[in-house]
Amino acid sequence: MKLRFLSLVFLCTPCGLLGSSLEKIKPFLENHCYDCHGVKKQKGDLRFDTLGDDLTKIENLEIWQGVLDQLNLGEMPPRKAPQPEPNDVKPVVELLSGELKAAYQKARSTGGQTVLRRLNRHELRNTLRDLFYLNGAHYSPDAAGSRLIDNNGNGSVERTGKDPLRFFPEDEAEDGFFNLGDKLVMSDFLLKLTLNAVEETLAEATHLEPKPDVERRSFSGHLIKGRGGHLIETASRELNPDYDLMMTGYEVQGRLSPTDLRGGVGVPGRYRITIKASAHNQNQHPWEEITKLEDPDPFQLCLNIADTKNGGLAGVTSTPLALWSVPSDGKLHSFSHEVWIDPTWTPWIGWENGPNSRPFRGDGILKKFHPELLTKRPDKKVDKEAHESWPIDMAKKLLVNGQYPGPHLRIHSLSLEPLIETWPPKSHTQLYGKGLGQEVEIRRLLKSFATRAFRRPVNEAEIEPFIQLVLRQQVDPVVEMSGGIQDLTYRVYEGKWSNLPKFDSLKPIAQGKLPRGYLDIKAAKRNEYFGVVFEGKINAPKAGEYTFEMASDDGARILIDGQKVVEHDGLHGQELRKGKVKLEEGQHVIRVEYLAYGAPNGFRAGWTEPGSNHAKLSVESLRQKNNRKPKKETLPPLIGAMQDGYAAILCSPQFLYLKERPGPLDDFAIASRLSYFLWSSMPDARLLDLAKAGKLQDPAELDRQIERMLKDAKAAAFTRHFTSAWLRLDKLGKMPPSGGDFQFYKNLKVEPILLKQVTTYFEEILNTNGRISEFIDSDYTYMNQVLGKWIYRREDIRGSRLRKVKLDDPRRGGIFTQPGIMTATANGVDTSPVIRGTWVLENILGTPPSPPPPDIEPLPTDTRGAVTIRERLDLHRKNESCSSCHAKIDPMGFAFENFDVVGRWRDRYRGVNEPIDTKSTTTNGKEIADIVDFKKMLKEREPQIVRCLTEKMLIYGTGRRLETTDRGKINRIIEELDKKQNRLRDLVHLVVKSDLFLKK
Amino acid sequence: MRKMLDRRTLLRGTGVAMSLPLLEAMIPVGRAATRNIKPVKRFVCLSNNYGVYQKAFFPDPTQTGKNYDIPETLKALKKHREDFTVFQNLDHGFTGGHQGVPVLLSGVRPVLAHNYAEGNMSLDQKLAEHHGAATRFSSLTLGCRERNLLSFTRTGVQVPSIDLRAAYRAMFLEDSAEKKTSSAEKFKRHSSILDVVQDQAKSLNKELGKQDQEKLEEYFDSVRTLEKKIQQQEPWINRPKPKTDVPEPNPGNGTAEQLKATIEIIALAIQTDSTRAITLSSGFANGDFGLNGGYHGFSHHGERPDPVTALKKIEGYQIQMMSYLIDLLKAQEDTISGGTLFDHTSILYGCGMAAGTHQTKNLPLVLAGGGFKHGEHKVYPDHDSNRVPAANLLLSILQNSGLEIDRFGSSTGALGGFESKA
Repeated sequence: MKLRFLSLVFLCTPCGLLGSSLEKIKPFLENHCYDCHGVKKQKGDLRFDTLGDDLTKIENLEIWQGVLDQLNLGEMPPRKAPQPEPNDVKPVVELLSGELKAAYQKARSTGGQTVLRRLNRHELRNTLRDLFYLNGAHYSPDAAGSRLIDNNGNGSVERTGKDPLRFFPEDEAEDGFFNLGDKLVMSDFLLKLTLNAVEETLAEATHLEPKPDVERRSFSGHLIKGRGGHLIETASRELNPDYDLMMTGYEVQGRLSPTDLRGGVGVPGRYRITIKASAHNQNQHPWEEITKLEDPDPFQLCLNIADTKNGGLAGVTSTPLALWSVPSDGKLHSFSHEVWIDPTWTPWIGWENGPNSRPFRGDGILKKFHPELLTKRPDKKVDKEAHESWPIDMAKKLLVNGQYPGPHLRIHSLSLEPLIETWPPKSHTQLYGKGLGQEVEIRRLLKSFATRAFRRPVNEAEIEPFIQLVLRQQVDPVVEMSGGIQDLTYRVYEGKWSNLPKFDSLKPIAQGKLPRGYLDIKAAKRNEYFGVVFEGKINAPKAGEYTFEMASDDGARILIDGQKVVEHDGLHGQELRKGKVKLEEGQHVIRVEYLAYGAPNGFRAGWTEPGSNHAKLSVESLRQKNNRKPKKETLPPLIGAMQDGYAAILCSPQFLYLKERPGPLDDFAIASRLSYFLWSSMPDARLLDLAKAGKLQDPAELDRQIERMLKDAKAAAFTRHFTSAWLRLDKLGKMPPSGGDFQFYKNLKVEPILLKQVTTYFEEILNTNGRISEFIDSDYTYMNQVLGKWIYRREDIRGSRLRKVKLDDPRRGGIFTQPGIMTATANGVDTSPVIRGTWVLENILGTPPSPPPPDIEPLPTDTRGAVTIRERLDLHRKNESCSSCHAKIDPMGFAFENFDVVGRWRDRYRGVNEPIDTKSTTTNGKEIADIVDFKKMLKEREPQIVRCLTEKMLIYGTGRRLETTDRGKINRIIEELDKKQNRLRDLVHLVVKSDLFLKK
Repeated sequence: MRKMLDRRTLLRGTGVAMSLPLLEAMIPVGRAATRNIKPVKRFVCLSNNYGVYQKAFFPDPTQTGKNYDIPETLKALKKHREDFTVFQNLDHGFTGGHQGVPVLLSGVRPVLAHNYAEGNMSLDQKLAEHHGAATRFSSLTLGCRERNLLSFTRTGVQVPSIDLRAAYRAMFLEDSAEKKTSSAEKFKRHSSILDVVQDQAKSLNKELGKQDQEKLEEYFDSVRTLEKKIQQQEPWINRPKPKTDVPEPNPGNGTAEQLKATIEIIALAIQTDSTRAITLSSGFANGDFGLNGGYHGFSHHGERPDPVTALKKIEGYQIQMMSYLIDLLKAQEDTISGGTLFDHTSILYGCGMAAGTHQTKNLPLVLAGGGFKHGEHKVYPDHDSNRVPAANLLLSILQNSGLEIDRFGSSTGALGGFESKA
């Protein structure tokens, strides 16, 4: 049970004149209280005859609350004193409750205005993403980083990952809303985190390293090298060099990704992934039920990406990208998908609707269907090799002419084609332009950045301080250094040296030129025991102290104009060594000596100067390999100075807060409201252009923009965050079920799937403009294999992707009984009709119950006897002061009792092993037998549910609580909505075009 | 009699050898005493998130004062009998089950924070403000297999917790020269950015209505406070950290091991005067103490014997660790204020939810050390109309720590009948 002084929507309570009506209580107090709390005595330091009735004063409010509590409890007047008649107490309690409720509401009223609203955590993250044109997977609305995750369940929370806001605490919330202007707080702690996050993002957006050298990577024949995967698949690989066999779904095994990409793709960027596959034998089932495909649909191939450094292919980061049908005609089909991939992420493919992999053991199938082919496994001691190869030998016997006879997919190739259009990327050029360091360029860049960051036109004066911050630092131009070496030659020597020999006294076995101008030890055309001397000319763009860096395996040195600059002789791994040299502007001779002992070997080098970018000297770049951003202090001064300017812009209130003027919003304010409503992010160029043209006041234009925005991928933020606020999904994960029967919840990482199920359901109704009543009941839901098996107890669902599933069971449709909701409204251990009933009243029907008196003890929980929650609640309701509220709450919760703490159906309580009784009677005398009945009752109350949803969406859209005075405007939305059968997408349109949304 | 310690021998006793610069800590005791300088006080809160099994935790309510039988859960404290107090019938006066947990150190629920001048600022953060830059870390918020929900700043922002290894590294491992330079430059850079931002934002203020101005004032406050904190932290970059030969703790598998290591880190933090306000929440991982299940599940015991036994084990161990901390602090001389560290360190064991039944009445509260008159079982009125707020105890601790205030959180005054030693 919880106390809710501050429940959400009290639209029915008038904000009457306070004070005057409390006078009506005075006679009662005079009769029963003044003796001890009056002129003569002031027991407990309390005196009521002089107690002020101005409830806007917290000290008065506290005392009046105390009076109410004592009356509710019947503790006062004390037992020995004459007791008031119950009929005298009742009106006093009612009046006082009403007055206090109104006073609390008034205390937090913002007068119907949205208060200067700080961007919350996810809004800030999304805004940084769009402002800097960043793409990383950690910016996805579904990224696991949106909540800190406790992967190993030991309470130590994972804060790895690249999300720049990973250290931010959860924002201040009220009733599930994380975007109320007056609630959101700024603190020095948060400001410090913001500064750090902003600097980290700036580093991520800055690209001083040379253009990544990525070529098209193609993996054909076998993606998997060596053994691995299922035995039959391994056997097939050995016999068929042209493809990888895929014969099962991917629940246990069968997630196929190139072995060479197990550490990720290495270079971040957009890629086109192309897969060539063929499907075979859809209707051939050589081993009967084992390989029978229950699914009559065509074979489905799914493409996913996953972070190899965070859970791997089967971890929480695994994200589906595409699903393709492969006709079972044995012909080669090609499928492509374009996507941004971060360095440690890798693509994988699986057979979405493939058969379960459990029964597939080569020898097991042989034993059952071809016992004549089965041989005994050789003894390990007699023939170890034969013993070890036996499982595969058996598996091979199942192949007919080397081919797998059952239904299967063949993967012939996977290729990754980088799609880098420009270098440096837009994220960099929008910040630094050409890096000329001219004042005019700096001014232009900062102004255009500030315009986007402030989401409106800026004037020169307000951004001058940022510009001055940059200009007063050293702002020499960033010098473009050419990476290449001119007239580069090489000489190869042969020998087993452990130190660099005097190469010039030896005779080279080969020599030549390297026209590309990059040091390349592959020119030696051997793997080990050799040496190379490179010579050429480099061009210093200006006089200054240059730093040369190299990482070599084994010994190497760099000489400039005959002078040793970097020396790392001997046998060793690739450690980074640096050396500095002062150079005049112009050409210099570079000589590099290198020796390779046993394989593997490698050599990478580069050079830089303060004020210039890092340029590579070798084929493989240093920066690319270790993939780390240079530290702030080692950046060219111009870049550092400009970053300070940008950081200041991003720490200013104009960026961090959504500022609106009272009254009708101007076009730019509308653009921001709209984009933070539907995208949880800044307006894009199109919205800002429309605002500039003054077109966002036009309802037809708003309709067009809403449609455009909802079709954008960024609209996932609306589904995710609004659904969460409406249905209180923020509670999910606060008290997760654990241990025993619930181990699967953690082990199979069920929680993100539960969330996804709810949002998918919402999204589908939103996208099809479905009726709001579909939330109450439906003959379908979404599930994947895990949900099917563990929650719905269905074995016929394949794959990890949630898909629409027809339901025959009337108990399971709708959104309110989904496992995500059932888990969020339980506490991981017990269910309670009180909690779920309160949840229905607050979030679905919009009639929050009054808070319980503060001193009510929780229900006793001695469960040794066969006492069910119903019996305990029945007892509770007998108590006069509890009954009035619980008569409203409990019937809204009992029907859910058949769903356990993770939403699985149950007929009996565990432990006490008592049957579950879901019957209840609502306050208006309606009998509810079970959840099916309950949904019928909700359907009759559709208007109420629509009103509640409308109000919640308005709160989410405006970032403020609703007030009594808003009632008329809400009614108008509801009337309009009702004309077209209460549809969800219509509601979004009506909310945006309403006065409440378009006015502050 | 105690003699002044030389800088090098300080702390050698428990495996700590350090070379500190001449800090406040090195002021000769005699001088401190004669100048009548107030002793420096520290505060440690040991907590969990599920309350206690009350029947084994509280002494018989009829046995008040010095003569009471130490209950089962508290038996590890027996040897410190004269040095701690058990309180009964103190609480924060509302229901709300788990929502009580973050309220322990203020008595103010986050939703009502705006009614209080200092919001729902927790006791440790109040002390952190008080001590300011006197120590390298103004507070330490630790979690041991549990989320620490105890610490809130005056703006209601929850202070995130770190684990013991991170705490150890921050306190005792010297940063590289490069890191120090980079930190110093970062402070400088951030100061100049904040300067510009503050200046620039002033123009905005004029355009705003009253509510928005108040919101913006919160922003300006944050800027000013952050600037101040940067100034306070900057000198610490180049001051050497205390050295210890206690090795970096390895977060072991079991909670028992980890909690013990954390307690040792807390003692080290106090010994080295690295911080003066510490909170810790400890939890449970499946398999600890040979128990199968979850802490939360056990706490819903319903009086069934298995979970009750489990709870007693978990809570008994937490108390055992409190006793261990007392041992460690009693063994150490307080080089700043004289006496032992224990004399000037208040150790509070407690939880803002009384029991796993979601009850919030009669919070488990045991206080040791700090220079209070201990040794009793104090039973406060249990009748609703004259219950004593638990925040009064919090106020007493703050007053005892040298803060001249007469209200903290939801307190109505200092806790009656509970005094500091002269």
